[in-house]
Amino acid sequence: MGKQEDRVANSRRRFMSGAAVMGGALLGAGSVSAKPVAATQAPKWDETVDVIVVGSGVAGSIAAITAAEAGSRTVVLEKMARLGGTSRFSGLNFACVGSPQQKAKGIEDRPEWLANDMAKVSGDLGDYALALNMARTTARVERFLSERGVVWDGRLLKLGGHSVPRVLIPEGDGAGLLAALQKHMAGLKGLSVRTQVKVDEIVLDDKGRAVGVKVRERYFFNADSANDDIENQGGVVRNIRARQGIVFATGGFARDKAFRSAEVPFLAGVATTTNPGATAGALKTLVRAGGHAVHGSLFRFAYPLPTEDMVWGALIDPATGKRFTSEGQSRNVLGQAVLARKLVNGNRTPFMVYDEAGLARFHNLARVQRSLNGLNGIDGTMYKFASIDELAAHFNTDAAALKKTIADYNAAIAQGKDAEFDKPLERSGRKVVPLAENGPFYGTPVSPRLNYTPGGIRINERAQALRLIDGQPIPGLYVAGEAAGGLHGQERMTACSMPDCSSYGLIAGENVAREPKA
Amino acid sequence: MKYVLIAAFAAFLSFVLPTTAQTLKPKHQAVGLECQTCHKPEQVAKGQFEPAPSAQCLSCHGPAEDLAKRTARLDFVSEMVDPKTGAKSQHKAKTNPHDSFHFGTQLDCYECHREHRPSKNECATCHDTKPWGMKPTP
Repeated sequence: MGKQEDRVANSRRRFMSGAAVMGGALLGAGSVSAKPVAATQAPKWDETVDVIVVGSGVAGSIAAITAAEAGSRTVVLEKMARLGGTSRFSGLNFACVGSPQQKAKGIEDRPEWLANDMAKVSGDLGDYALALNMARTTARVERFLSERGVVWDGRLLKLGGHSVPRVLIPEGDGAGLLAALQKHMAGLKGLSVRTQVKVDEIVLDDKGRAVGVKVRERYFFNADSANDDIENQGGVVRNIRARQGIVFATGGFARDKAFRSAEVPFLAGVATTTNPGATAGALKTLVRAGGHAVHGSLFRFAYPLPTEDMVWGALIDPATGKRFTSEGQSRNVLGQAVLARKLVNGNRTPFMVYDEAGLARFHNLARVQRSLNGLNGIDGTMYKFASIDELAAHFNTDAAALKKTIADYNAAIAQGKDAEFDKPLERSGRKVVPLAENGPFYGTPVSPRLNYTPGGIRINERAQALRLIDGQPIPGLYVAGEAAGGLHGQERMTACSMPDCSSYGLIAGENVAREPKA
Repeated sequence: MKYVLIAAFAAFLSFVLPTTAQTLKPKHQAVGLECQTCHKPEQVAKGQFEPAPSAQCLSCHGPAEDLAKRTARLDFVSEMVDPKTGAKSQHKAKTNPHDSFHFGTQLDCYECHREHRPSKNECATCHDTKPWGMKPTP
């Protein structure tokens, strides 16, 4: 049978999709006359394994290694032609409680302190129990990774919001960490890693247990498509059975313009440097299996330069040459102001103006150097100008208007009060001072990047996916990392995605490998 | 149902490769490449094409390690100034797409290079490649 016929034949086979089970359960509960519509006929399985891991970023890789090492025959299914997802583009800064690096420096830390730090920026929306469980797992993750070839670069950092130095940086960033794990995975028996496999459906049995997946192999993700999940019908259908369970480590949905702007309209035009495959398709697959999607309207912005250092300069709307908001706001509030402005100014990207004194106040000058050298990504390059006229010409804004804005700004700062936007004039013990009379000046676009989507499927502390209709775990189905939602809330603290992905990847791997082999 | 699927599959193929005769890049034309040079015979027979596998490209342009060496000039070297001491040093960024910081030699050729439609600079999906001096992707 040719591949095309195989595809068609498979699509004809009836099998129990998540939607059918959901429908059946709802009907069963709400109607006396309707019978459950769920099919009882299992699909013809093309292959049987113990554990299926969907996604190959840091959460999926750790889950797969854990399951395979526990003796489960495991396959990793990756939609893209490349492995690693967004983890490959991340620094994977790792907030870790009780690391050898902390002990060597005599730094006391407790899981509760990390969870409390995270709660402070969560806007009271984060799940404290999940965060604490994560924090308690980080030291174990550190050992796990170090024993499998991951090398830390020697630094122990106290980053914004963290009450003690606790952040580790992997050698070679996320790309280096994943390269080490992939090398380890290549030597593991019972672990198979496959690319270009798109998981379309989770197959549930008549008791609602996740027992396998319907996939398309030889899938060519089309980054040029506005909605690959819907438009791309390519690939060869197969059904893969999982005797123990399925781990979804499918990342976020920052690249899904239709979905993100349905949740939050001003996110339509936001930039992102996540994995081009970071669409909402996997989230929808989990929802069809009954999963409870939470926090879809939350967002987290990243910037090429630290948000806290914007306070040292003036943020300008190129359409008017005027300031429009305080430069001293949190990353999300500032990003929202910028994106809202772009909705009304012809989608033009605002820019910062700094002078030499402003740049010298940055807490992280290495990032300034990266920006000046064109190494900080789209809309992340900083340019040096001899005069305001030169700067205005570069950003295509009215020079006279910009000069007046700067004169007014300087007068306000000199008087010690930003009457217009009330930006704080002191930060970390350093004072904001007026911009210099003469150049050089520095200009850089301010383009918030949606590089993390806190929303996803609700999980419990065992990384089990929780069902919408009754809050109970969906047996056999685990979700880890950015694909899960609810842990972080409003504003995920810096260096806290890596501990989330790695801890719940480890927990999911351990628990799925403990399930009986059906 | 069968026809819906076939129609959908055809729509998918139309972005991979329209099934009508295709143009080739001049250098590939000059060496006389045919459909089956790059695509599998069964795909050619059915008129259903997938992007050529990287191994096929590398059979002429590879191996990957040699390709990386030949294109090492695509790495971006810039002068970095230590903000505290003012000391200058050369900083080499691994921007050669054939041996890059993020992917090493692992990216598939077709992620950037396309034979029958305009190529794409995949780096520019996230990076400002102008300061690196990158030219349009061949």
